[in-house]
Amino acid sequence: MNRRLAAVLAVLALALVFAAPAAAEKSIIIGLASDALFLDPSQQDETITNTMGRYMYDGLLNNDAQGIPSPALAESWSVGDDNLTWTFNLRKGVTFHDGTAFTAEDVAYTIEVCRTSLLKNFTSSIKEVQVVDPHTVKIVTNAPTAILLESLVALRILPKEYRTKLGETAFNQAPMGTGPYIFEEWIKEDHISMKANENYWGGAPKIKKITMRPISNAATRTAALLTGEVDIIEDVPVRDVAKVKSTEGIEVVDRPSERLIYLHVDSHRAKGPGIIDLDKNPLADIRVRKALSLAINRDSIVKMIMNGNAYATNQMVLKGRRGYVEDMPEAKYDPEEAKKLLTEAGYPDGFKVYLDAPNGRYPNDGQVAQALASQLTKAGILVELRLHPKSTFFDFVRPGDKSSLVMTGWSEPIDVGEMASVLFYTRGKNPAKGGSNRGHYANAEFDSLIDEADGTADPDKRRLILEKAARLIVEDVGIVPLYFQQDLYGKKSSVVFEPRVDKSILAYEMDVQ
Amino acid sequence: MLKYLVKRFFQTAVVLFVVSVIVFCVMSFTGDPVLMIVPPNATDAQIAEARIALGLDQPLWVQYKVFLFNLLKGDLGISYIFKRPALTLIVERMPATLELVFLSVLISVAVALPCGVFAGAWPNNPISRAIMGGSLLGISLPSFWVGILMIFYFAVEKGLLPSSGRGTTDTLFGIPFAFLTRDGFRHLILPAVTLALGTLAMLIRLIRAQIMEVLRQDFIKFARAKGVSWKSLLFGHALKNALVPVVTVFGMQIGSLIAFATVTETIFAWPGMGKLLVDSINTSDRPVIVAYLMIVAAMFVFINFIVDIVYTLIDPRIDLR
Repeated sequence: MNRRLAAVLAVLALALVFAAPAAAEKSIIIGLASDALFLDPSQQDETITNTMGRYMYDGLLNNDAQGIPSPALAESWSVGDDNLTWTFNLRKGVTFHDGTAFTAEDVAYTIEVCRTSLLKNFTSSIKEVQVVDPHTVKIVTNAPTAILLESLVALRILPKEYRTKLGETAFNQAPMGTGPYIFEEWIKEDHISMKANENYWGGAPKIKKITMRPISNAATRTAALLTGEVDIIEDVPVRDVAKVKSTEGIEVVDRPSERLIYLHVDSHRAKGPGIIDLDKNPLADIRVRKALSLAINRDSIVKMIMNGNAYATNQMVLKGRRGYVEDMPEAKYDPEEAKKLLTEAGYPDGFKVYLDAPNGRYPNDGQVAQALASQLTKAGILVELRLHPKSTFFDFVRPGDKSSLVMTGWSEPIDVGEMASVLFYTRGKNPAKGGSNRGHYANAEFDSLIDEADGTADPDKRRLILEKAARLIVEDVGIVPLYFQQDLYGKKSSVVFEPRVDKSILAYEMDVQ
Repeated sequence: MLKYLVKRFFQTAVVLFVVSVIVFCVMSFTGDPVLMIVPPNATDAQIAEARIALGLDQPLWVQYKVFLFNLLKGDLGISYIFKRPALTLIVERMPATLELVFLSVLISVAVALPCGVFAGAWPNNPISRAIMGGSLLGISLPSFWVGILMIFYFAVEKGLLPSSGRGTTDTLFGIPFAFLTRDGFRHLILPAVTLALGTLAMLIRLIRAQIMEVLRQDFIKFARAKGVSWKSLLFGHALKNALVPVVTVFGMQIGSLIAFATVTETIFAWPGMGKLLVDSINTSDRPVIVAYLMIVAAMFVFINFIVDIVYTLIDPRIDLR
């Protein structure tokens, strides 16, 4: 018996000896809500794909935690007198993970690739790319473009030689960039593993080994955190927050999400396809739109339906983004005033309208839409709710002849100008703008502000114009902002982590104690 | 036998053809895949361009014709989302699903046979009543609930087993399997048991009913009169005669387990093909959905074929012709 015990102890001692050096190496397991669609960042604009683009690649610029671009592969830049030609000085001595040098050719190649991929909206402002020398690249824009730097963040620099040799499909299976982490293995829906790039230009990462695990079921993801199988998870379900908080050694971290939940209002068409009982469009009357906004109790929606895990707002973007208006008046809740305005507008008995909303696209979206319907109905806008599954919702609410009141969400990574050109610019005026103007908002003054903002290369000037535009459309009730969602993370107390506005969990910025 | 095989082959072709038509028509009623693959701020022209690139601007019957010709060449289409062949996507996830289903089938049979026979032979025994009560629970409880409960009891509260994922795998014939490693096997237990519960409960009830029915027949009385022992009477005479309907149901059940282990896979973050189906439905990735359903249909046809063969082994009186 004693001999056996001794043997066991010896084995344990040996195990400790061998385990010791491994324990010194910091590693982390991250539980994500879904797998990456691609590891080739030029193929998709989607949160997890973008996150992986941050691990293995760099842009000319990278976003900081607040979404502000900062120098990365480009060390410095300047705009020419024509306001069109941007000269970027590239960082010297940077290599891809296989040791080949990063040069201006890779920049030109990346932009060419993205022009024909799903990232083409980030390259649409670029007219041409000139390789001046291996460490200098000139980018010429079609028009003065203040958002060029933000757009460049999305273009993760691809290795020209390696990717051309492998081809698109094989590259996606064996990705490589200049980023802080080197790809090791990708088993679909199971894990992605990476190791630290010790030669990273920004300094070697503190955490050496990364495992990303997609766990799509929220309860399972929480369980994996509670059992210690993963170190940090995203999207802690609201119902589990209390349980996670009460567990020793585990914490919940939150921050406002980029995603705004808001209403599109059919504000300018003479006839509203979603108006049920009238042959005209009452929503074209500003008094009716004001009544609509007044009838909504945002605070109660946030408190009762979102369990407090959201932020009621009257803004289009988060603070810090261009187009956030410092002194924007709070959204008021006043059903009596709403009724009065409706009566004034000639609808004392109200009118019937469809509200189109997704069910299962955003947290609690169906319930929020139900609450909206009942609040609006109480004030005299008799809402009939049409809930759509997420796969058919965006098809149904495309601008056209189906809906007049749409609840949806938008996550804006750049500023109000970008958001407005997609969602609120008059349709038909400019083929590149107003593509998803579901409320058919049409306001010449607003459009000219957006055009003006898109015509300057000066970010500060753009900011002033966009603040004006945001104030204009909110006062005109062309948009009814409801709330910003909340991003919730669960983590072990030993993990040092600050949530980012783009929702990426970036190990390079983190540490494990 | 050859004549039977040929006949069977033609039946299969007809079944698959009909399935493909139905699946294709149903698919066209789901969401518009084009909107899923263009940037959110795409212009109408870009959307039209993407539609043409995918061939979705053509009338449905033309799309179907293209699909059918490609199918005959063994090409099930390219995923809109992943830009890789739909068949590859499904096949690379199949081993994970198959090993999960295999273990849960083993569990079902190992538990259901003795329990079912016992409950059929001694229906009034308190143990039989307990078995039947339990099986009722097994049938009624939804697997997503059982799965979550298992995770919270065995993984979170007791810390006995891992909560999710596939763990470490090892390769066999070049294919990675989890059951080959200790860690992988530990990961396999909870999802396999969860998946087994429904089938298990149903098999118990079916076997019990069959055994009770068979035990009432004359040849059993005769065998008892002849002095055959209880054990060989139950497992030799009664069970063998009770098995034909059980095998039918069991075959269908294996098919559904492989095809629709979706819920269990999602809960346990098991990287199988069921999850692929759910994700593809959510993103309107038509080629993957269609390929998946075609494979499932082919699999069911194949399993039924095997079941028919098994009939003749169990009961020589059954003639395939």
